[in-house]
Parts: sequence; structure tokens; C-alpha cells
Amino acid sequence: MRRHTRRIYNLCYRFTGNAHEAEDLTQEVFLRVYRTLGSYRAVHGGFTTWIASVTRNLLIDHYRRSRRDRLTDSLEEVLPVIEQKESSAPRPDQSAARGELSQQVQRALLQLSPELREAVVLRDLQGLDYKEIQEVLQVPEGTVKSRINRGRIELARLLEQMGVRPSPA
Amino acid sequence: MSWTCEHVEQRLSEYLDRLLTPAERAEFAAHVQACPRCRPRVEHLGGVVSALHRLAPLEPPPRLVQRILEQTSGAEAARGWRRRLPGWLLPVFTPRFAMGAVTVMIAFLVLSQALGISWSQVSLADLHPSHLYRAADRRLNLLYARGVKFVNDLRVIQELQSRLQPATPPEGSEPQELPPANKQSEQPEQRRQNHADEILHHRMLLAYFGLTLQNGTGLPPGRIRP
Ligand SMILES: [Zn+2]
Repeated sequence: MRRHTRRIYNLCYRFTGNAHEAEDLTQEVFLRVYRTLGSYRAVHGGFTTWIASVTRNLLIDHYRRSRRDRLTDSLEEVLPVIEQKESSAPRPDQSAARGELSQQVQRALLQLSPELREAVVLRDLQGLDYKEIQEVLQVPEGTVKSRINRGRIELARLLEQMGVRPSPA
Repeated sequence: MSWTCEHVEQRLSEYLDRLLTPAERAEFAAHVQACPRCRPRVEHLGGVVSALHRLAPLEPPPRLVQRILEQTSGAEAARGWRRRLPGWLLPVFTPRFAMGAVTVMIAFLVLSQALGISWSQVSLADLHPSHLYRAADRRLNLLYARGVKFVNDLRVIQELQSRLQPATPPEGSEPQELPPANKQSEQPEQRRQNHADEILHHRMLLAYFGLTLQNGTGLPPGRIRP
């Protein structure tokens, strides 16, 4: 339970950049998971993948809703600015040492388009493999590959601009 | 055909994720080795990706688990369920039992995955307690024989589940690896979280007994009267 809570919470937080929204969304995911447990089929991939799908669909709904609320027209160019404001909302408790890179990554993530952001979060922060991500996003394999690649390249460029140059392990 | 800078950029992630064939990998490496433009890019991206993989997951606030427990055992959650439930299950699904029963279902899902039961062939009728009881057969009996302790110890379920997904890389960054200084400051929260888990375990037990008693299949193995 705690493990799933953590996974879902992290996915929501990394996508929205807002601790309060991440909490509400995690709670909503659990409710939805319980209501739709009957539709879960082991053959469609693992339980973790299934939960990630439920979470992802909710995040997309949430994203569209908040975009409608805040913008009268579709002004996608304005999005990064708006989302950066969101990210100034309270953050979860964390030790200062590991917090800095985590927050820089968060700032950079929020500047990615939602398509690229979710691909990178699922791959590199949630540890899903390409096949699982294909399952979650319901897009062709080639699209998964290209989104992960473009997302990472864009993220690396943004981090470099912020002066973040992590050394390989 | 030797690779261009565009080829390299397109396949960068596949290179880092070791998804290229040996031949492709060789082409990739040959270009990067010789190209002053691509080499620093590949190194930087490799550094970023491995930093992402090492990033510790954020701890959700302890009150979140509590909130989830409260809401999923609330009246609203129960109402939606009831409509779709067969009659024999209705009395069990009072709000009080809803959360625990659901957790038991999750546990069954996890167990059945481990035991190789295919849920695509399972209908709601198969979830009738007596069916469940028989289907779970000796293996579950064996587990149950270890008593309440097993059900209480959700770690067993978590372990089963992690064995189902052995190749997930970031599991290594679970919070057990927190430095001691960190751990101390988190202890009160940890305790609260444990308390929440305890409530959950009790609910699981209640739900289990609720199901078996409801059906008249009696008590868990070892305590069935002749
Ligand atoms: Zn080049």
C-alpha cells in the first residue's frame, strides 16, 4: 500500500509539480483503482503498469481541466510560464542534500510539453521499460522511443542552461 | 553506411538503454568517438539520465495514507460498489468493510499472479467466498496456517510483487537507504504511517473473516469444526 502510494504520489508530483495537487490526485487514483479493480486483467501487463495507466489518464484529465480553467483559448505557448508559477506551491518535506537536484529536475520537467514530460517521468523516474510505457500511453513503439529521446534531450538542454552538469555514475 | 550526427541524436536513448543491436552500437560508438560535436552531448545526456535514475523518490506525507483510508471506507465509495454487487456480497460491503475487502482483493490479485491464476477466465461468480476458498487451495491454506501474522505482514505481498517485476531498476532507491540522520527526523512520521498500516491490516482481517463467515464456510483452516 505504501509502496503504491509512493509510486503514484511521485508520478503525480513529477507531472504537476505541485504537492497539494499530487496528494489530491493520488487519493483520486486510489478511489478509481478500487472502483475499477474488476477491469484489471493480469494478461494486459503488470499491476504496476495498470496503476500507472489509471494515474496517467487521471493526470491527463486533470491537465486538460486546469488548462481550460486558466486559459480561455488554447494558448499552449503560455503553459510553461503558468506551470512554473504552480511549482512555487509548497513542496514535500525532503532533506536539503538530495533536494536540490530533485528541484532543478522538477523545474526543467515542467518546461517540457506534457507528452515529453510523461514519457521521461515514466521511463527515468518510475523505471518503466519501453513496452510498459507503450501499454500506459497507448501509442506505437516508435512514438514511445521518440518521445523518450526528445524528452531527455530537451531536459538535458534545460538542465545545462541551469548550470546543472551531473557526472555519469 | 556510417552514421551521421542526426542518426546518433535519434538513437541516443536507445543507446543509453542498451536497445541497439551490436552492429548499431558499434556504428554509434565509432561516430561518437570521432565527432567533437556528439561526444560531449552523449556524455552530458548519459550523466543526466543516470542522475535521474539515482534520484530518491519523494516521500508522500503520512497523512495521505490516512486520507485514502478514510475516503475509501466512506459511504460514497461504498455506494458505487454496492449497485454492481451480487446479493450475497451486499451485507459484507458496509463502508467499514469496503476498504479491507478491496485490500484483500488486491492481495488475491497479487497472489494469483504469483500462483499463475489467469484472471481473464474469472467471473464475479468465481469470487464467491466458497469458490475463492477452494480455488486458493492448499497453498493459501499453508500460508494461512502461519496465522494472523502472515496477513498482518504486508511485506510478504510486497515481496511477491517485487518478484513479479524483478527488472525494475529504481527499486534500489527505496527509502531504506536513507542516511541515519535522515531516518531519525522521520521517525514520528514513520510511526504514524505504521499506525495507518496497522489499521489497514486489521481491516483486511475483518474483511477476510467477514467473507468466510458470511458464506458459512466457517473459520480459517485448522479451526473448522467437523
Ligand atoms: Zn556527430
